[in-house]
Amino acid sequence: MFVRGTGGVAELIRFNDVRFSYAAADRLALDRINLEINDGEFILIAGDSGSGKSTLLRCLNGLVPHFYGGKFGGQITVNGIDTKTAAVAELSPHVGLVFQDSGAQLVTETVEEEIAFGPRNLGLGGVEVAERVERAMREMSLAGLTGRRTATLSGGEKQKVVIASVLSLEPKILALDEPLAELDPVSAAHLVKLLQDLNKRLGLTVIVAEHRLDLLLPAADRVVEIKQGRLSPSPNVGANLQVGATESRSKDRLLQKDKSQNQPFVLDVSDLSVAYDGRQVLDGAAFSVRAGEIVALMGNNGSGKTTLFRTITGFIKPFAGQVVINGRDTVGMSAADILRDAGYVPQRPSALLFAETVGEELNTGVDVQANARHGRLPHRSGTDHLAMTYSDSMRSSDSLMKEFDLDSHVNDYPRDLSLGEQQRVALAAVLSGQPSLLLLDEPTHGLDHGAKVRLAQILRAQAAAGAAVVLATHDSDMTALVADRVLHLEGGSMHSDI
Amino acid sequence: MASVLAAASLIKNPLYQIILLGAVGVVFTASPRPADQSRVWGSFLKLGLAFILISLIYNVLISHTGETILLKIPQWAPIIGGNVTAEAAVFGAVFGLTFLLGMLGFAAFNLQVRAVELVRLLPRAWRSAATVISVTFSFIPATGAAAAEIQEAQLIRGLDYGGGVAGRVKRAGAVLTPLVVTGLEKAITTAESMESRAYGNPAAASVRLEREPWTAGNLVLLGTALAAVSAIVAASVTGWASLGYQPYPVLTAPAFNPLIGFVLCLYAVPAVWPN
Repeated sequence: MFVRGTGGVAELIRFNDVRFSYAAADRLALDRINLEINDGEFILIAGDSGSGKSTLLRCLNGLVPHFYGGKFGGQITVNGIDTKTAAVAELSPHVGLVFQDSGAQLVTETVEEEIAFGPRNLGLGGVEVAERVERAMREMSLAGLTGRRTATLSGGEKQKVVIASVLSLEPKILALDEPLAELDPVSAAHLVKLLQDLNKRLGLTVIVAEHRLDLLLPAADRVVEIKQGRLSPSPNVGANLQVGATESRSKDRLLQKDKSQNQPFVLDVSDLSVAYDGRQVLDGAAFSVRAGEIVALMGNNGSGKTTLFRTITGFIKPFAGQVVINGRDTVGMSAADILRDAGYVPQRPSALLFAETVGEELNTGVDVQANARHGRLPHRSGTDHLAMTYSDSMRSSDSLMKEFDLDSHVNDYPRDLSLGEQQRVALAAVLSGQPSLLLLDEPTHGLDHGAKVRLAQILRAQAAAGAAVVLATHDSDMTALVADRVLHLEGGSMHSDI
Repeated sequence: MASVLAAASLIKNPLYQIILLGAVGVVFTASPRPADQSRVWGSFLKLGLAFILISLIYNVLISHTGETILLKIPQWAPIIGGNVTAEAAVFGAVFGLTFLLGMLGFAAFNLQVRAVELVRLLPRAWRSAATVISVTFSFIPATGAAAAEIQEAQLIRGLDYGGGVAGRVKRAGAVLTPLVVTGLEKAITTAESMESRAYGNPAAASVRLEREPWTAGNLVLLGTALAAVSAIVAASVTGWASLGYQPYPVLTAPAFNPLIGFVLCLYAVPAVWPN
């Protein structure tokens, strides 16, 4: 179906001394990039968050510089076209670009409409469009989603539809930005296999930017590492894998386990059954967590991890079972009441960020906490009692800032930070309430290894201070770093690891 | 949809409005709709009801004509001082009902007939409109979902706006800013995604596109919609049946013409003849 290269090694993409800085940024996002990619190659672009991976990908179809503006120097040719002079719409038939947040990329109402969007824009006739939609759906095994509305798809399904929607352009190059971030190990392995297949069978040039390297390394012909906007001369990808992490923790963990054995239960879930959206998601789920314990709750996409958290926090009402937090059965209590004891960081931490600056964000959290303690009120009015509350809150937001390594960002706009930093701001804001139970949903989504280690340290400190921590994750790296105990959620109920 | 909107805007007679509301309601409940969307339409409905209430209160306070006096606000109060009349209340409510009808009609027929499909039945010159409409429509559920997410996030952060009307208003305000911010973020991604998929490619304009064939279902739907709207327009122009309703100066029962009632029931056809 897709046009194959003429055979042999043909150069498809060339970056010639490319420099780029975003408008109003003083730092170069790309700094003298020289790179050639041949027709039919499978390239892995490795690099931490904020290193320039996404910017590099956006150069391929001219979004950088045409969409973003900024200062651009050097030259990029893609399939013989100079990206500086061609419009994005002219380059896009050659480059299928898939961004990070697959949900946000869906632009139409239904699956077929979505996949037909590209070919229609190419001005193809109805028959040709229908054929392309059918082929792309077949390539991505999407037959089951025929006629579905895009708004009702799961995360993994959305991603597949997004990939199909660029495959229908029948491009020579398929470029994906952190495609594994949202996927559990099984789906991730499946996607990598699929990309390999598209690369081998159809001769598609595949370029993947990722920091989850373990699965992609065997598939890639070549790894290119980018650091602070520059290509590293000799990619040292092994360092990112950190195989040793598992062992170094195990001893600590045994000690921790002994210690927490005598602690009281903070969370005790029993026989919990939940139906959501007409489907039974949890079926007699049961587990408990003691103070000072960190439990990793593992399970594939769609196994019900998020539903479990949303039930514990009172957003979803179960039809059977009990959730006991600090000795109180919370089923039937309002979410607002439950959340006074339980801190919850949902999947997308940016959802929790409202304020103009990081400092303000944390102060809000601290003020809210002061409110809860002293009844209603403290809008910084004059009595001695309130003045004291206020200075207390300032102090503790300062200490939070230090503890979470956010000092340098006090005046930054929270949503502009990297995902790892956003995660820390959200966590700090939630922790200002000093909850005895902390629930984190996929906290490592979009985090590079360094950021994960930093998060693990923070969670450890919280546990040491007596909090019970539960993280829902499919990241075995993070589980190895931090968990005292692992639970698997499968078919709506729990299976213990140890 | 255009037909139901035209009907909704022409009819000011509360009896007819209630019949039309019933017809639209039947279509709405008969339409298959995903769980996450019904919540969005639910808030649509609430907005409509709130509008009726606001329109009623506003009119009662501002308009002092009418003979059925319910109570008197002292004349020293600027603007609102004067008689509070039942006529003004009815007029306000009827005006609000028009608005609700428009919104609900839009919602129900959007669930039943997809705007994109409708536009695709049209000649090719209208085609680019289909794309724009389709993208716009996918924004409605997305924005609803974002609003729900923000409200949850505020609960998680423990932001308490207090109860009562004041609290609700404050909370709505607090949702608005992040909603605009996330909306803008989503808009940027959407724009990027559209451009990356050849949106604006000059090739699209130069090629002939085939129309989709009309099916029996389409024809029935279009036929009833046209028949209904022409009957209503005819009634309104010739004046053989009054569509309006004038509560002033004294409250009277609205006129009722069974034929108009029947015509309005035609709007329920999509519920029994799904395409």
